[in-house]
Amino acid sequence: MQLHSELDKNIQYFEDIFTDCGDMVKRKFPISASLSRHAYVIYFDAMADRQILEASVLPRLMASAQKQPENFFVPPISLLETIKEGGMTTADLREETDVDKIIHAVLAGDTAIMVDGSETAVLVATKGFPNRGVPETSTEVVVQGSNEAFSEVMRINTALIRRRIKDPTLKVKQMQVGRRTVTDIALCYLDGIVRKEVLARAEKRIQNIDIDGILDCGALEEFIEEDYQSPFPQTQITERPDKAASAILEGRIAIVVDNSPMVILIPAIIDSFFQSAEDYNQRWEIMSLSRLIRFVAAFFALALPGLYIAVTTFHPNMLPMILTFKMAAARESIPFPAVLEVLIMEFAFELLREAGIRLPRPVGSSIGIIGGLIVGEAAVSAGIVSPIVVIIVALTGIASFAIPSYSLVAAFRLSKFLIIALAAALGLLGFWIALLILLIHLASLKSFGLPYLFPFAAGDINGFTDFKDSIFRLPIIFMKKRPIYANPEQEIRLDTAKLGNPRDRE
Amino acid sequence: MTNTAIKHDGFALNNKISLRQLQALLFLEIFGFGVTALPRRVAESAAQDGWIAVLLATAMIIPMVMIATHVTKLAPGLSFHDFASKLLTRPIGIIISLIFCTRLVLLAAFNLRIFAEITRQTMLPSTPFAAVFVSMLLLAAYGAAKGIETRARMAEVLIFIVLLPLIFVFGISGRDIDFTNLAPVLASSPASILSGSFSAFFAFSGVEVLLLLGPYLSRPKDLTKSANKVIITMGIFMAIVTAVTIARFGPANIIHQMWPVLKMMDTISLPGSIIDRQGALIMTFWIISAYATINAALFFSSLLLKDVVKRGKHSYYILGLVPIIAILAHLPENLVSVYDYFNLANSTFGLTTMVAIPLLLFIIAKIRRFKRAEY
Repeated sequence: MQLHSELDKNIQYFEDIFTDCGDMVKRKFPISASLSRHAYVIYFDAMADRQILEASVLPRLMASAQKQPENFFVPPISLLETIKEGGMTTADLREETDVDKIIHAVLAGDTAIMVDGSETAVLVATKGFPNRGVPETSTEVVVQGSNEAFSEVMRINTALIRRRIKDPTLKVKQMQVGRRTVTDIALCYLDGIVRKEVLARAEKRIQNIDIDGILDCGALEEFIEEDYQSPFPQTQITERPDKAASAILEGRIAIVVDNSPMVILIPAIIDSFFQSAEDYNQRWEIMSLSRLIRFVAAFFALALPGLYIAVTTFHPNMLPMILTFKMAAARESIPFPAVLEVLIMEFAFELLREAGIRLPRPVGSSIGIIGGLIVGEAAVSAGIVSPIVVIIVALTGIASFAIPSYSLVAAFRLSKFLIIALAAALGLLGFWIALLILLIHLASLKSFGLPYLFPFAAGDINGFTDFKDSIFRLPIIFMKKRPIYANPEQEIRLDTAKLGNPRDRE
Repeated sequence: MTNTAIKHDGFALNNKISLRQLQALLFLEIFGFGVTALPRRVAESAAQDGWIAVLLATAMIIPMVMIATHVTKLAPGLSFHDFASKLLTRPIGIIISLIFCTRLVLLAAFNLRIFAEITRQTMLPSTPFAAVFVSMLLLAAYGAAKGIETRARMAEVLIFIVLLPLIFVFGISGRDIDFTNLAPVLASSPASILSGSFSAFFAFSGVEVLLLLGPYLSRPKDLTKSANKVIITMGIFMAIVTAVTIARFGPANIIHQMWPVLKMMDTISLPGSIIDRQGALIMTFWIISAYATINAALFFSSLLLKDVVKRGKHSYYILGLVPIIAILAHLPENLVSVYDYFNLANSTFGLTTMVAIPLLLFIIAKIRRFKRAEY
């Protein structure tokens, strides 16, 4: 629908639409010397920045318009020109004639100004709702490195990325999803370096979403993944702008969702969940060790309880004699089978973890002490669980915190129970069957066409160069090619011609 | 298609595997199961010259591989059944496909039974066969249902898990080995070596799936070369394993070991290890080999059935084949009759699919001057 030239009809229309919207500010005021012509301003309180509006838009508009002759607003001179000449001190203006678009703009925090006799409204970009600025990292903390984190406002998030990549080919492609929430979504990528088929897939999948609302990135993730039934994350989530920028440089796409302090990185493979932003801020030897530890931790978090059950219940003769005796002695007075023992402790641990999230921060640590130390100690001395099981479960828990990605750990936590169940039924055979089930599942996953197990499987697509930044993190100088995510026509990222022999550096 | 063309075609082609993946698949499918009983079987006739028999068998299998891959490359876009039907009319195509399918089902059943026997002996003495059958078959079925791409990526990961314990064990086995057990070289009669190599020939059971792979290769042109490479590598590996195992136990003792390679892994003393017995090592090697072989047989037999019936997904046929394989695996009363049945199946169905069918297709294609497809 188009705007009417008669202001009162327009006013009536907007009044009808925004009935009972108590947070809306509407004002009609005269703008000609004789007070015969009027203007109408609408915006949402606290969605629009009142300071811009009241300091630099409205007063000047009123003051300058009153100096104009009576018939000034009669076409062909456009309203926009007048307001510009009138000295409006903001640059971000646009004209709009379509009522629906005006409504959407106002709902997003813009201010609409309409005047008598004009079929065009002026939209002033006044989006300025309260937000918490640029917060500090809370879930992906590093020892050395940036501490900025994404916040809930999309524009701030894209700015944080733009500040790190000052290149005109950094594109921020915006879309809207959700019939009612009309959530802004921005795809940030480097044109030319991104793989076109991945970008096309991502755009298509986002465009195909028809839902009433997307409130955070989790819901969006589910819509753009290949296998939404898998417990394993096929997109990576980060709160760190430096991580997002580094991903974009590698040819990946960062999806910024408005109202979410997390940014989605695609494509994501299992290897990417083992990488931390800090890996490139420390010496490569040390970080290679860290990477190795993370992979070992992943195995512990996944398989340790299952392995313990399989070995103690089915194959005690596998272990050296003395260890077998020690374990048997520890379990001597325990009334439960090993599975039940492990399950009790695992349940207790999951309980602690779940409770720890809900508790206010100051109380959280005391729960850790009560739960971990006192209850664990009491359970052992009461003879309900053996000390070895406490060690195993604690080790599993600690190992799960060594992996940088929360969502991958969550998948491991769930898979752990599959391994425990099968190991309890069939010993080592069951343990291996469970591992193979997981491996088959992981091998079947793809993230935007990229095999999830890359580079451990299908590593030859990229000539195995991706192994340089996988289980080990080799020196950056070795990584001349971009990883698999990048468009193969743009695979060189490091030109070593001028670098010369590093040993001869002056 | 050049190498770069494939790289530019997205990350990976859908439902296609690379030649590297093919090699990993073949290695896993054939090697593990082929090698476990191999030293005993060749030592039975060729004694200490068993390893020569293995090398001879490798030399015998190579021409068959070349013929099979040549046939596959004639029409890489066509499924085996379609190709055979085109060349020999549809009824004969169906018969050949069903023979092929039977062979693979028998192979799966045999391997499943052997797997269960070994599991009972080494790990789970009191667990019933049914539990082992069901769990392993369902695992293999799950893997097969996921399709060729998943199988290929699995193979690339699994091959390390299989090879590492093997290399580890054979690498440190030096101190226990008495190489004088291998002397005198070539003392056995040519006839006994030949008969040993006939047994060793069937260690390569499963190689015939090369005939079925046509539609799934991203670069069919180099199929022959990569298949030969992996078969020769495998042959050399098998010969080394055979030689080391015979040297370890001696040709007289080895024929009393049902699965000498596993026995060897189990009894070698590892210096300073926390694992007292290498049950875990055997299990990794053994479970994964069993999985790979049964999975391959299930996958390809279901594909053949699907192509013959021309309806539905291959995973439906897997579901139908699972109980059949379980029942077949349960039929023989004891281990001796298992091997009797297996020898019988090998010399009938095995020879047909490994030698007769590729030869037949090759000759008919030559006579009918079947033009090689463009690719």
